[in-house]
Formats: sequence, C-alpha cells, structure tokens
Amino acid sequence: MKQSKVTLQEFAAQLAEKSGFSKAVAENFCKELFATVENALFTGNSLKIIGLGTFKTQFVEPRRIVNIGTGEEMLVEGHNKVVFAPEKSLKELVNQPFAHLSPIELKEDSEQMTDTEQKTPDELAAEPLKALGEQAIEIKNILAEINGISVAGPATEDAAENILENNIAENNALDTEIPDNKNDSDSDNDSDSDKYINKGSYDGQQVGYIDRTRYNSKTPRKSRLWWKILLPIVLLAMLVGLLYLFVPNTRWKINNIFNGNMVIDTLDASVLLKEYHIVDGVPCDSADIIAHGDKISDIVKDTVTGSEKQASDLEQQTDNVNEIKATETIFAGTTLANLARKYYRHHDLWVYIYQANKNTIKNPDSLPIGAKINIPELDSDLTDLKNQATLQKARKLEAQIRESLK
Amino acid sequence: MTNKELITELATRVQLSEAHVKTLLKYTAEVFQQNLTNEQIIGIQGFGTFEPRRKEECVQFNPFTKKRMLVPPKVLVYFRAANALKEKIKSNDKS
Repeated sequence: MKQSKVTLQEFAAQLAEKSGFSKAVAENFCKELFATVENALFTGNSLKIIGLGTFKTQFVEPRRIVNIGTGEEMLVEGHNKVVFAPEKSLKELVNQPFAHLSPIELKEDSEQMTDTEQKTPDELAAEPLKALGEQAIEIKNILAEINGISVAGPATEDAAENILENNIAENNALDTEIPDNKNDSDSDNDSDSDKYINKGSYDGQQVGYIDRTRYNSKTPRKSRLWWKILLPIVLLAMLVGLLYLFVPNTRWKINNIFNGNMVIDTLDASVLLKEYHIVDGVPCDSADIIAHGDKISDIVKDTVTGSEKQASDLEQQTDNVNEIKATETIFAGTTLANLARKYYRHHDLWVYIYQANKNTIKNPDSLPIGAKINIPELDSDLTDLKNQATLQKARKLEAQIRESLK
Repeated sequence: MTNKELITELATRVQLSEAHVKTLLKYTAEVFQQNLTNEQIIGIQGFGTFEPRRKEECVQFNPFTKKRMLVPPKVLVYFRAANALKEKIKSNDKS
C-alpha cells in the first residue's frame, strides 16, 4: 500500500491540471474552500461537499478520566470535535476493487478454522465422509482382533495360566488382567511355559485392551436406555409434586380425601364389631342379639354424631361473628394484615378475618387471587386497641392457627 | 450550509464566477476521489488529513443469528482533523 502523503500543493497541481485553471488559482481555491469549511464548522453548521462528504461538529460529553500512573482523577471538559462522513458514492468508489465481494456465511462445523486456511465447499462436504471412513476402519480392526482371539484363545490363556503358576513375581502387570480370562480356560495342554511367555504376555494385554474397548462401547448405549426409562418417571414425579405444591385446591382435596377415608374406616370398624357380636351371640336369645345390635348401632350413632359435633363446633367458632361488615376481592399483593389494618386499625387482628373465611383461605400467607372475602363485624371488646388483652388474644389465636396449619 | 451557499461564498472569496467555482468544486471532488482510490493520504495543512484505510477480511460472529460471516476486505476513508482545527472548534465551544 502506498502511503505517500499528498500535500496541498500537489493537490492543487492535480486540480489545475484537471480543470485547466492556473496553479495559483487552484491553490487559492483550495485554501479558500477549506477556510469556508472551517468557518462553517466554527459557526456550528454542517457542510456537505458533493462527491466528497459531510463535515460537521459533534459534541463530546464531559467525562472523568483516571491517570493510571498517579491515580489522579481528572475531568475532561465537554468539547466539540470535527466529524467527517464520506458520501456513499465516495465509499463505493474507494471500495471498487472489493465491490464484487459480499459477506459469506460460514458453516457450523468449520468453527475451528481460521480465515487463512479456508476450505472449499467440496472439502467441507468430504470431511464427514472421511471421518466415517476412519471410524469404519477402526471398527474393522477391532472386529478382526476379536475374531483372532476367539481362534487363538485357549492356547494363549493356557500360557497365561502357566505364567501365573511359574513366575507371578515377574509378571505383576499381567496379573491384573489374567484372572478375568482364567475361568474360561478348559484345555489342559502342558506346553513349555518359557516358549509362551512373550506371546502370552502380549496376548493377555491385548485381551485386556479389547475387553476395555468393548466395555466402553457398550456403556453409553446402556446408560442411554436407562435414561429413556428414567426420564419420564422422574418428570412425572416432579409434575405431581409441583401440582401438589402449587395448586392449593388439590392439596385441600387430597387432605379431604384422607379425612373422609378415616371416617369411613371408623364406620367399617364398627360394622365389623357388629358382625362379630352377632356371630358371638349366636347361642344367645334373639332379643339379646337385638339388644346387642341396638347397642352397637348406638355406638355407631355416637361416633357419627361425635364427628358431626366436632364439625358443628368448628362452624360455631367461625360463625360466632355472623354479621358481615364488607366483602373484599383479593388481588395480587393483598394480605390479611393489610385488610385488618384497613378495617380494624391493627394488623394483628387479621386472625378474625381468617377465621371467618376459613373455607376460602387455605393458607393465610398465600391468598387465592380473585376470591371474595367477608370481613366480619367484630365485637367491640375484640377490636378494642386500648386494651392490651385484645392484641394478646389475637396473637394467641394466631399461634393456634399456625399450630393447626403445621 | 447548502451547496449553493457554499458556491456563492466561495465565488466572493476567490473572485471567480459561480460557474467557475462550480466546475472547480466538481474537479476537487474528483481529485479527492482519484487520490483516495489510489490509497493515497491527502494532508491539508491546518485542516486535517484524509486517509483511506484498508480493513482486512475477517470472520465475524453475529450473536443474534448465531452465524459466522466471512467479511471481505474493504477500504474506509478516515478524516483526522489537524490540531489547529481541533483547537479552534474546541475553543468555539467555550465562548
């Protein structure tokens, strides 16, 4: 690349030659031209020379710089700078030698190559084929080795056994590999051990090597199969777990189902009891049986009514604040404490709202969004903030609720 | 400043007719182009230098499309303002 600098004088000479004016005029013209450009920039205007480009000023924001050597901090004041944007025609003209070139997309598998050693598309296409060919050759070699061993197997293994018997100390390295093959040896050829030492050691190593390759080639397939089986199971388990965790309704339902089952179980037990008594009372009078039956039915009734009683007790607890002050819809971000502050002027009194809406609110810490909540009208002694006892009462209740939720 | 304004101002400065100035301006641009295409630097005293710089071809990676592109070489024209001009413009900002 020529990097000689063309000065103003040379430039003017070229211009004079081209335009037919005298050199002096051309030089003067050039000077004036740049002077006007300078002037225009000085006044803050942008100036465009057709066929060349635009000159304009650009403001540089003030910025801090730190002198690395001294650690001094300095402020570079904001200033203007001259910017030249070449015209499109000029850009194209300058780029003419490369105009026919356009960016080419490179393929993924050619990632490692640098731009100096590029390959033609044909070579790129041939690469995978080459790799396949290499693999095929490797597989062939392995197969050949395996076949060779099955033929020469007994003799070599016997030799290995001999070595084991004769000089264990000498062939420590062999020892590790031989025991695997020892079991298969069944021929009882008493050949000279010295004759086979070299061959045996060689083949023993070979066998070990092949076994390892076999093992390696098999394991990934096996593991893949395992993955195929395990993955759906794990996913399913996770899905169920998530459902249970994040859908509050299901958790409630599941709990309900368990409770329901318990009730049924007790009933079943009582029925069994009844049958047992009947069988037991076979020798007794029929009246006796009836009496027994009545008793048992009474017991059953008692248990049923007992559970009903419990339920009704709970209802009473929640229903002791019957009058509804207001209804609120829950949005994202609504908390019981906030509602309590709004209606009872203290956040600790949220427990009463919770108690009144136990059916809709399963967990007081995560309210179901969109649900409607009834704000109960509380007795004056429950909301009396001047009295310390009210808050203590509320806190006690809260502790109870937390306990029950656990 | 438009091209016309530039021509009229130049005409008064150089004391030539506007037509002459127009042709001269056209030729200046041509000389510029000629020199720059020959990869020659044009240095104007007290104004700045115009320098065509050659960018070698390179492989660029587009993180959005995840494509590697071989970008052909190209020439860009850089302008470097002379110190005199820089100072003038700078001081202009202060006033």
